[in-house]
Amino acid sequence: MERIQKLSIYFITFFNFLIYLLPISIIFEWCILNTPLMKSVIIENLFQQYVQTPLGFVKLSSVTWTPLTKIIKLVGDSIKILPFFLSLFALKSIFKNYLKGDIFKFTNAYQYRYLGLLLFLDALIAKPIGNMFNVLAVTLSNPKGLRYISITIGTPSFKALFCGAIVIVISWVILEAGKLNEERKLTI
Amino acid sequence: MSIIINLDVMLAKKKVKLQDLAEAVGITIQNLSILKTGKAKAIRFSTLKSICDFLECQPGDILEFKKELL
Repeated sequence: MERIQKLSIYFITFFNFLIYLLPISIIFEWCILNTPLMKSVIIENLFQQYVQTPLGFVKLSSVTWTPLTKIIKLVGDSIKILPFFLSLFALKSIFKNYLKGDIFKFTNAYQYRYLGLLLFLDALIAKPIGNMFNVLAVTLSNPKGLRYISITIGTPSFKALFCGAIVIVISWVILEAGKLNEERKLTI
Repeated sequence: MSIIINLDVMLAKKKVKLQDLAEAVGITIQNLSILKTGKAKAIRFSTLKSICDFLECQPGDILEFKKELL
Protein backbone atom coordinates (compact mmCIF):
# COMPACT_ATOMS: atom_id res chain seq x y z
CA MET A 1 0.00 0.00 0.00
CA GLU A 2 1.36 3.41 -0.98
CA ARG A 3 1.87 6.15 1.63
CA ILE A 4 -0.93 8.27 0.15
CA GLN A 5 -3.33 5.33 0.46
CA LYS A 6 -2.38 4.79 4.12
CA LEU A 7 -2.79 8.50 4.92
CA SER A 8 -6.12 8.63 3.07
CA ILE A 9 -7.73 6.39 5.70
CA TYR A 10 -6.83 8.94 8.41
CA PHE A 11 -7.98 11.87 6.30
CA ILE A 12 -11.34 10.23 5.51
CA THR A 13 -11.87 9.52 9.24
CA PHE A 14 -10.99 13.14 10.07
CA PHE A 15 -13.40 14.51 7.42
CA ASN A 16 -16.17 12.19 8.65
CA PHE A 17 -15.56 13.48 12.17
CA LEU A 18 -15.82 17.10 10.99
CA ILE A 19 -18.96 16.37 8.95
CA TYR A 20 -20.71 15.36 12.18
CA LEU A 21 -18.99 17.89 14.44
CA LEU A 22 -19.81 21.07 12.48
CA PRO A 23 -23.63 20.89 12.57
CA ILE A 24 -23.51 19.71 16.19
CA SER A 25 -21.31 22.67 17.20
CA ILE A 26 -23.64 25.17 15.50
CA ILE A 27 -26.72 23.68 17.13
CA PHE A 28 -24.92 23.49 20.48
CA GLU A 29 -23.95 27.18 20.30
CA TRP A 30 -27.50 28.04 19.29
CA CYS A 31 -28.89 26.13 22.27
CA ILE A 32 -26.66 27.87 24.83
CA LEU A 33 -26.89 31.41 23.38
CA ASN A 34 -28.94 32.91 26.22
CA THR A 35 -27.69 30.73 29.03
CA PRO A 36 -25.00 31.53 31.66
CA LEU A 37 -22.90 28.78 30.03
CA MET A 38 -22.15 31.23 27.18
CA LYS A 39 -20.08 33.33 29.60
CA SER A 40 -17.89 30.42 30.73
CA VAL A 41 -14.20 30.48 29.81
CA ILE A 42 -14.29 27.17 27.84
CA ILE A 43 -17.21 28.28 25.68
CA GLU A 44 -15.62 31.71 25.18
CA ASN A 45 -12.55 30.01 23.76
CA LEU A 46 -14.50 27.50 21.66
CA PHE A 47 -16.80 29.84 19.77
CA GLN A 48 -16.46 33.23 18.16
CA GLN A 49 -17.75 35.52 20.90
CA TYR A 50 -17.86 38.83 19.07
CA VAL A 51 -19.73 40.11 16.02
CA GLN A 52 -18.43 43.19 14.24
CA THR A 53 -21.24 45.67 13.67
CA PRO A 54 -21.15 49.28 12.42
CA LEU A 55 -21.42 50.23 16.14
CA GLY A 56 -18.32 48.22 17.02
CA PHE A 57 -17.76 44.73 18.39
CA VAL A 58 -20.75 43.20 20.17
CA LYS A 59 -20.19 40.39 22.65
CA LEU A 60 -22.65 37.52 22.04
CA SER A 61 -23.14 36.88 25.74
CA SER A 62 -24.27 40.50 26.28
CA VAL A 63 -27.02 40.35 23.61
CA THR A 64 -30.63 39.88 24.65
CA TRP A 65 -31.72 36.93 22.54
CA THR A 66 -35.28 36.48 21.36
CA PRO A 67 -36.51 33.43 19.41
CA LEU A 68 -36.42 35.50 16.20
CA THR A 69 -32.83 36.75 16.69
CA LYS A 70 -31.72 33.24 17.62
CA ILE A 71 -33.17 31.89 14.37
CA ILE A 72 -31.49 34.70 12.39
CA LYS A 73 -28.17 33.85 14.09
CA LEU A 74 -28.64 30.15 13.26
CA VAL A 75 -29.37 31.00 9.60
CA GLY A 76 -26.28 33.27 9.47
CA ASP A 77 -24.00 30.65 11.01
CA SER A 78 -25.39 27.91 8.73
CA ILE A 79 -24.80 30.04 5.61
CA LYS A 80 -21.25 30.84 6.76
CA ILE A 81 -20.38 27.20 7.37
CA LEU A 82 -22.11 25.75 4.26
CA PRO A 83 -19.20 26.04 1.74
CA PHE A 84 -16.77 24.49 4.24
CA PHE A 85 -19.29 21.75 5.02
CA LEU A 86 -19.74 20.95 1.31
CA SER A 87 -15.98 21.03 0.73
CA LEU A 88 -15.60 18.26 3.33
CA PHE A 89 -17.70 15.95 1.12
CA ALA A 90 -15.57 16.84 -1.92
CA LEU A 91 -12.35 16.18 0.03
CA LYS A 92 -13.77 12.88 1.30
CA SER A 93 -14.55 11.83 -2.26
CA ILE A 94 -11.00 12.79 -3.42
CA PHE A 95 -9.37 10.81 -0.63
CA LYS A 96 -11.65 7.82 -1.29
CA ASN A 97 -10.22 7.77 -4.82
CA TYR A 98 -6.68 8.09 -3.41
CA LEU A 99 -7.44 5.13 -1.15
CA LYS A 100 -8.33 3.07 -4.23
CA GLY A 101 -5.07 4.16 -5.87
CA ASP A 102 -6.77 6.41 -8.43
CA ILE A 103 -4.61 9.51 -8.05
CA PHE A 104 -4.96 11.19 -11.45
CA LYS A 105 -8.63 10.51 -12.07
CA PHE A 106 -10.87 12.93 -13.95
CA THR A 107 -13.36 12.97 -11.06
CA ASN A 108 -10.56 14.20 -8.76
CA ALA A 109 -9.91 17.12 -11.10
CA TYR A 110 -13.63 17.98 -11.13
CA GLN A 111 -13.76 17.73 -7.33
CA TYR A 112 -10.77 20.10 -7.03
CA ARG A 113 -12.50 22.56 -9.37
CA TYR A 114 -15.61 22.26 -7.20
CA LEU A 115 -13.44 23.03 -4.12
CA GLY A 116 -12.07 26.14 -5.83
CA LEU A 117 -15.58 27.30 -6.70
CA LEU A 118 -16.66 26.67 -3.10
CA LEU A 119 -13.84 28.94 -1.91
CA PHE A 120 -15.12 31.64 -4.30
CA LEU A 121 -18.67 31.05 -3.01
CA ASP A 122 -17.40 31.31 0.56
CA ALA A 123 -15.57 34.58 -0.04
CA LEU A 124 -18.12 36.30 -2.26
CA ILE A 125 -21.49 35.09 -0.98
CA ALA A 126 -21.49 32.90 2.12
CA LYS A 127 -19.28 34.95 4.48
CA PRO A 128 -20.77 38.38 3.65
CA ILE A 129 -24.37 37.10 3.80
CA GLY A 130 -23.67 35.06 6.94
CA ASN A 131 -22.13 38.12 8.62
CA MET A 132 -25.08 40.22 7.47
CA PHE A 133 -27.46 37.85 9.28
CA ASN A 134 -25.26 37.84 12.39
CA VAL A 135 -25.12 41.65 12.49
CA LEU A 136 -28.89 41.76 12.10
CA ALA A 137 -29.30 39.16 14.86
CA VAL A 138 -27.22 41.07 17.41
CA THR A 139 -28.65 44.52 16.57
CA LEU A 140 -32.31 43.59 16.10
CA SER A 141 -33.07 44.03 19.80
CA ASN A 142 -31.59 47.57 19.71
CA PRO A 143 -33.88 50.63 19.67
CA LYS A 144 -35.10 51.86 16.28
CA GLY A 145 -32.34 53.52 14.26
CA LEU A 146 -29.64 51.29 15.73
CA ARG A 147 -30.59 48.10 13.88
CA TYR A 148 -28.25 47.24 11.05
CA ILE A 149 -27.87 45.14 7.93
CA SER A 150 -24.41 45.42 6.39
CA ILE A 151 -22.48 43.49 3.74
CA THR A 152 -18.70 43.81 3.65
CA ILE A 153 -16.00 42.08 1.60
CA GLY A 154 -12.71 42.45 3.47
CA THR A 155 -9.12 41.22 3.20
CA PRO A 156 -9.95 37.64 4.35
CA SER A 157 -12.27 37.38 1.34
CA PHE A 158 -9.39 38.23 -1.00
CA LYS A 159 -7.28 35.52 0.63
CA ALA A 160 -10.07 33.00 0.01
CA LEU A 161 -10.43 34.22 -3.59
CA PHE A 162 -6.69 33.79 -4.12
CA CYS A 163 -6.78 30.26 -2.63
CA GLY A 164 -9.81 29.44 -4.81
CA ALA A 165 -7.96 30.57 -7.94
CA ILE A 166 -4.93 28.42 -7.02
CA VAL A 167 -7.13 25.36 -6.38
CA ILE A 168 -8.84 25.83 -9.77
CA VAL A 169 -5.41 26.02 -11.48
CA ILE A 170 -4.41 22.81 -9.63
CA SER A 171 -7.60 21.17 -10.93
CA TRP A 172 -6.53 22.01 -14.51
CA VAL A 173 -3.13 20.43 -13.87
CA ILE A 174 -4.78 17.28 -12.48
CA LEU A 175 -7.12 17.15 -15.48
CA GLU A 176 -4.10 17.25 -17.83
CA ALA A 177 -2.35 14.62 -15.69
CA GLY A 178 -5.49 12.48 -15.94
CA LYS A 179 -5.38 12.72 -19.74
CA LEU A 180 -1.70 11.67 -19.75
CA ASN A 181 -2.48 8.83 -17.36
CA GLU A 182 -5.29 7.55 -19.59
CA GLU A 183 -3.04 7.76 -22.65
CA ARG A 184 -0.35 5.81 -20.79
CA LYS A 185 -2.91 3.17 -19.80
CA LEU A 186 -4.06 2.81 -23.43
CA THR A 187 -0.53 2.49 -24.81
CA ILE A 188 0.08 -1.18 -25.53
CA MET B 1 -10.79 6.01 -36.30
CA SER B 2 -8.56 6.25 -39.40
CA ILE B 3 -6.02 3.65 -38.23
CA ILE B 4 -7.55 0.18 -38.37
CA ILE B 5 -6.14 -2.73 -36.41
CA ASN B 6 -6.29 -5.99 -38.31
CA LEU B 7 -4.91 -8.12 -35.53
CA ASP B 8 -7.98 -10.41 -35.43
CA VAL B 9 -7.65 -11.00 -39.20
CA MET B 10 -3.97 -11.91 -38.83
CA LEU B 11 -4.73 -14.18 -35.87
CA ALA B 12 -7.35 -16.00 -37.94
CA LYS B 13 -5.03 -16.26 -40.98
CA LYS B 14 -2.19 -17.69 -38.88
CA LYS B 15 -4.63 -19.78 -36.80
CA VAL B 16 -3.22 -18.42 -33.56
CA LYS B 17 -5.19 -17.92 -30.35
CA LEU B 18 -5.12 -14.56 -28.56
CA GLN B 19 -3.92 -16.37 -25.43
CA ASP B 20 -0.88 -17.83 -27.27
CA LEU B 21 0.02 -14.44 -28.73
CA ALA B 22 -0.28 -12.81 -25.30
CA GLU B 23 2.05 -15.37 -23.78
CA ALA B 24 4.57 -15.08 -26.64
CA VAL B 25 4.60 -11.28 -26.67
CA GLY B 26 4.54 -10.96 -22.88
CA ILE B 27 1.51 -8.69 -22.49
CA THR B 28 -1.84 -9.40 -20.88
CA ILE B 29 -4.91 -10.60 -22.81
CA GLN B 30 -6.75 -7.50 -21.56
CA ASN B 31 -4.18 -5.24 -23.21
CA LEU B 32 -4.24 -7.31 -26.41
CA SER B 33 -8.04 -7.03 -26.43
CA ILE B 34 -7.74 -3.23 -26.11
CA LEU B 35 -5.43 -3.33 -29.15
CA LYS B 36 -7.64 -5.74 -31.09
CA THR B 37 -10.83 -3.73 -30.52
CA GLY B 38 -9.15 -0.48 -31.59
CA LYS B 39 -9.46 1.19 -28.19
CA ALA B 40 -5.68 1.61 -27.86
CA LYS B 41 -4.29 5.14 -28.25
CA ALA B 42 -0.72 4.07 -29.09
CA ILE B 43 1.41 0.99 -29.67
CA ARG B 44 5.04 0.65 -28.62
CA PHE B 45 7.59 -0.33 -31.31
CA SER B 46 8.73 -3.18 -29.02
CA THR B 47 5.17 -4.57 -28.83
CA LEU B 48 4.70 -4.24 -32.59
CA LYS B 49 8.06 -5.96 -33.20
CA SER B 50 7.15 -8.87 -30.89
CA ILE B 51 3.73 -9.32 -32.54
CA CYS B 52 5.23 -9.22 -36.06
CA ASP B 53 7.97 -11.61 -34.94
CA PHE B 54 5.48 -14.15 -33.59
CA LEU B 55 2.95 -13.86 -36.43
CA GLU B 56 5.70 -13.64 -39.09
CA CYS B 57 4.14 -10.61 -40.73
CA GLN B 58 4.80 -6.94 -41.48
CA PRO B 59 3.50 -3.98 -39.39
CA GLY B 60 1.37 -3.07 -42.41
CA ASP B 61 -0.46 -6.38 -42.09
CA ILE B 62 -1.64 -5.37 -38.61
CA LEU B 63 -2.10 -1.63 -39.05
CA GLU B 64 -4.05 -0.09 -41.88
CA PHE B 65 -4.77 3.55 -42.69
CA LYS B 66 -8.20 4.50 -44.04
CA LYS B 67 -9.11 8.05 -44.96
CA GLU B 68 -12.08 9.31 -42.97
CA LEU B 69 -15.02 10.48 -45.09
CA LEU B 70 -16.48 13.77 -43.90
